[in-house]
Amino acid sequence: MYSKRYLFLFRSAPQKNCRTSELLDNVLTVAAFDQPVTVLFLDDGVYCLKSNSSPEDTHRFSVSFSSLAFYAIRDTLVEYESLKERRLTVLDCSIAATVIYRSEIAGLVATHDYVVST
Amino acid sequence: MKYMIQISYAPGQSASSWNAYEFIQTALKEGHEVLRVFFYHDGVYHGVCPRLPSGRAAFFPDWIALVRVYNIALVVCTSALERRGIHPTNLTEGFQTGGLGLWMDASLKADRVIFF
Repeated sequence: MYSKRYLFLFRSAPQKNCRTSELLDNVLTVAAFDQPVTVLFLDDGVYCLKSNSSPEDTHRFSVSFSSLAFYAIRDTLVEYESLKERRLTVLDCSIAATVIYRSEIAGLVATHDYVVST
Repeated sequence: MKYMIQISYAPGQSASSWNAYEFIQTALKEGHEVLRVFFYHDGVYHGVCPRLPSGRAAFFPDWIALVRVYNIALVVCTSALERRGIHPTNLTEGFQTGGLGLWMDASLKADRVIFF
């Protein structure tokens, strides 16, 4: 059985278009094939993790990332600098995510076979 | 080398589809293999491009020529079509529909996956 390591980068806000939702479909498909998956939220992609605290926060392109846990995707990462630039913290994230620093991302990319981004 | 190619942008939305088309032609001429061309996100619009009276739209790459000459598989994602309200029966002849399972299959077999 082939095995490749996939890294998915969520870099766009979910309100922008349906690409975020489609990339999530891609993530779940890869996980369903039992391939190692890492998900990283950076740039405006950190807004994907922002908790919906009011009805106004929902929108036509709302995407729920809670399904990541059901597919046993344990490597869910968020970039510290992207959170800080948007005045967010890891406590604002709706799902559990490990903080990674910008300086570490190059090393992370190097350990994966495919990098897929929004 | 074996490649899978993903097209993510609609015709006219980005020049990347032309870059992809030229890349594929060059790769094939140099003896490489293109396992599949997968149209995802707005790239699905390539499968429904309208035809001018001359028979070919000027700013759409001639994907069907790749099928005709090299027998390349052009797969348009079914779920992405549905999201955009496009019925699979409206696809241009030569394009096939398929799910992310085909994306997965090709990515596992390929040496490289290139996103345009």
